[in-house]
Amino acid sequence: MSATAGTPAQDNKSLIHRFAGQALGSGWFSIVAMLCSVIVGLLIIYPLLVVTFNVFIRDGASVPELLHQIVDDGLIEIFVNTVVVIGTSIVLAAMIGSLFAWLVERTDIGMAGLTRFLPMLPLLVPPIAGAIGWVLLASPRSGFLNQWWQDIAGLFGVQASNTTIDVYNIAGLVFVFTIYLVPNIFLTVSSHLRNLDPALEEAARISGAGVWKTLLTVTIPSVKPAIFAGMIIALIMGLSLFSLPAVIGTPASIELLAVHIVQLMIASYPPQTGMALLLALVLVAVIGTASWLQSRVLASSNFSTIGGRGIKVAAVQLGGYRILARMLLLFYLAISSVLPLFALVVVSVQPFWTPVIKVQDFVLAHYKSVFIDTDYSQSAVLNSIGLGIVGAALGMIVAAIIAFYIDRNRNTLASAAVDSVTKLPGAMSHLVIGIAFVVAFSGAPFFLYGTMAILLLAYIVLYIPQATLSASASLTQVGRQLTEAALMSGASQGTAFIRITLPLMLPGLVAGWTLLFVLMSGDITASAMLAGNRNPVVGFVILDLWANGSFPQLAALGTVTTLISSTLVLITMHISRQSMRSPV
Amino acid sequence: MDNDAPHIRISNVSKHFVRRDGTAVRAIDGISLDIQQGEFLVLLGPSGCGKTTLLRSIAGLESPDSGAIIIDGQPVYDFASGVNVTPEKRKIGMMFQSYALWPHMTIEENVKFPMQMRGVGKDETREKIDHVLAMMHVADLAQQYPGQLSGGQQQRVALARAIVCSNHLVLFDEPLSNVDAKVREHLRIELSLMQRKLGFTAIYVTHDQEEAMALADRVVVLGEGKVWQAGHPEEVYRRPVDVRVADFIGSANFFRGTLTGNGAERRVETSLGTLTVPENRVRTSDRDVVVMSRPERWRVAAQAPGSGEGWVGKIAAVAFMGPHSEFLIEIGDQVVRIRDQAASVLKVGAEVWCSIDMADLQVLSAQGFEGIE
Repeated sequence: MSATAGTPAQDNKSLIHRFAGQALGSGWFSIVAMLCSVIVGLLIIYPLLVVTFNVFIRDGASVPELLHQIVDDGLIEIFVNTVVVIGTSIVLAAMIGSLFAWLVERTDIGMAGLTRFLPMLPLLVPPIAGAIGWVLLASPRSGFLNQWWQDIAGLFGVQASNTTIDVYNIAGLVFVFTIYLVPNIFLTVSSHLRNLDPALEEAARISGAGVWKTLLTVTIPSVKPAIFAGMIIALIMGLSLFSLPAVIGTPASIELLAVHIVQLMIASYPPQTGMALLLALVLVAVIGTASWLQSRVLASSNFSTIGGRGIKVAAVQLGGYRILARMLLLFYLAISSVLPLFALVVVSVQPFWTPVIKVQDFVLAHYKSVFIDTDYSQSAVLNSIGLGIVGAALGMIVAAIIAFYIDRNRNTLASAAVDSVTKLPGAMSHLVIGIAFVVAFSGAPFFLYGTMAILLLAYIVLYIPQATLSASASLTQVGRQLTEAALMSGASQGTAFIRITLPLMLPGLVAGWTLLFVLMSGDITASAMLAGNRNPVVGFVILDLWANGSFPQLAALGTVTTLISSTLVLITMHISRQSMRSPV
Repeated sequence: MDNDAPHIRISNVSKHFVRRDGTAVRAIDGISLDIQQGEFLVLLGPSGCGKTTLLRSIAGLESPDSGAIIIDGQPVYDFASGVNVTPEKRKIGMMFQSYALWPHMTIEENVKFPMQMRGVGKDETREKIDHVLAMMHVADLAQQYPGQLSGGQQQRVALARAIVCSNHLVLFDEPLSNVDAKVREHLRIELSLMQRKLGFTAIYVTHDQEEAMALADRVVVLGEGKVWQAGHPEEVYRRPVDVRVADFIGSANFFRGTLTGNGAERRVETSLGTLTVPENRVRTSDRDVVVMSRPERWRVAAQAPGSGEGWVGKIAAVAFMGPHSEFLIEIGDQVVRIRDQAASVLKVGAEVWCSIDMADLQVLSAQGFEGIE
């Protein structure tokens, strides 16, 4: 007779045991961890419940009516625009990103110093700065590129129009979107290529397949799931990107869904929350389906990976194509960061925006006006930095505690619940969370409208998935046995965390903090809805300046934002490389 | 403490995992074991046999689904009464596969940590640290960091940390699997000496049978979550209870046969003819049997042995291994693996005489044999 078949009563007991016995049984740390999880969980779920209740039950908004309104208001065009722009950009980004991944991981293209910045690009030059930079570069008449094009054409005696290059159309929008989606694809594909057993490709070469044949018959089929996964991440990113369509799409009268949703919330009074929410929920449904598809793709694909590190792959010799490949990569780096940043810097020191660069006229007046003379933008900068520092620190501490707690209590229902709740904002569009925060916290009983608190809470909720992701990555690096050794030495979970795990996680947590700081201090989407004249932040002020057409001030603010975020990112990259190189 | 009571009693412990695809796997399946004070017990088995899960359940790092674990007469896990003592309260020392020395602490801080956690007084701590570091020959390394130590030194520090504050019980999770063969042998001897000197109870997990043989007072061979056989290493090696154990431990020759006769001498009909085997070498009452023999119990010679008993075979392959040579010899349609020190002059294709003492044969049930060959 086996004793393993439990009676229902026993199963019940073990279930309670699994939930509460372990979760609450091990001292103060579990209580702190549970408290953190519950607060974060409430911050995520409560606004969503309130907004759903208010819109669909209290105000009785009816979905069929709203759907009708979508057709009546001509919103179909917005859907078409969104699908065309983001769809095309994703396909282009997939091709370019995969090509770069293959070049970097598998060929003798070299340039390791440059290529490792590629995935970090959106952090080095934030999308809003890139978008403004491209407006300055490629506007008809006053864009630098148009001027240069005229000059070059003039050398050959050709009279070129100064409106040859125009960013204000579908192609321009696709172009800028593509630039910002390439790193997503590059990151997923190159990390899969790095883990893909090079013996597969070497076997193909030995079997007589040439470089191209190997690429087509072995490499590409092997990374196809990774390309697809990267495209889905790009889709999620693309749908949530508000700054690009706001800056480039609006003047071109190409409205995308994200911009329209924000407009419904801030440009109309009273805010059309019902419609905004419904449209945002469409995004959520698309993102949800995409995430589900992605997990299916990754689960079903059988990646054969190598166990040990440091296997040297025989690099494909590019020969004459090497120059071409390098040019291509440099060209991408130029258009994605160097050129827009150049345009920002130049316009920020010009008396007024003009495509003709005269160094002798350069002035710092705009910096003075933005950062010293105007209290409004000065306090916005200080607010953003303060919110970034505090929000990132709080976010990382909470994320570290939650990550440790989930890891130590695997297979319990409590940790599974915490795990899925903290991932929820990643599957939600930022727009939904922004709307929900406006509805839930602006008025009674919280009255947080126009405060720093509502921004801080919103930032933490928005970026908690990234925070827990980097916290659990650094936890994985520490390794489970070091923590277990502390437990076996008599340390409670809390003591093990503070004395052993936390100090060892620190380098990873600092990197995570930087990431959060850059994301939070540069946030546009939630800030557009939650910030105001009483609690200005950089993202809000940028949109404001943009609406007023104050390009030099805009350029000054964009330059400083870019410099702060890229300096921080570069320092962190440097530190984490150093700590990887030297064994502790 | 009562000397007759086992140090650790594991009764009917089970644990299952749920795989990603939703199927449940029984990692350990109703295991019961008594471990005596001061015993060196080795849990041996192929990967996935449940040995690590069992060890981690004793440590408290894993919670079983049912059964009970009693240490020093105190239940640390008991499904029936809902007892589940957290690992930090079990007072067990543990050595991890990676040694798990904390890289941000000096050797002294590493060893001091368990005593700080258990509230040992300052003077006593000082005294114990000095004592244990001296005993492990690492006293001069006290102020260094783990990254500066060699593998052997790290092992000694890890052992020092494991025993410094434990309740005379130390668990070992494959601690030698990361070092190369030569160092491993050295560390193994050192560990064995240390355990005998200090007299703690050791439970040691490994998949390396040579290591298991060398260290164990008692080997527990685990497979598919169950105990296949437990006993002295020599017993497990020479007298395996079934073909699975015989196949997992060492190398073996298997001949299918049919068991007949009874009394002190039993006969087995095999392709090598009728073998007459002493009754105490028969571990089954099945008619359908497998005769197991170890390669090193066989002898190879160019001439017929004195007794005149043996088989004539042809050498199919021979490999010189250093201490011995390894032969594959065809006897009829049967291939026999033989290890013998003799006869380096014997070459492939030569006709030779092979012989073995009937007392070196082991007759096992043929059940499960198909899965092996």
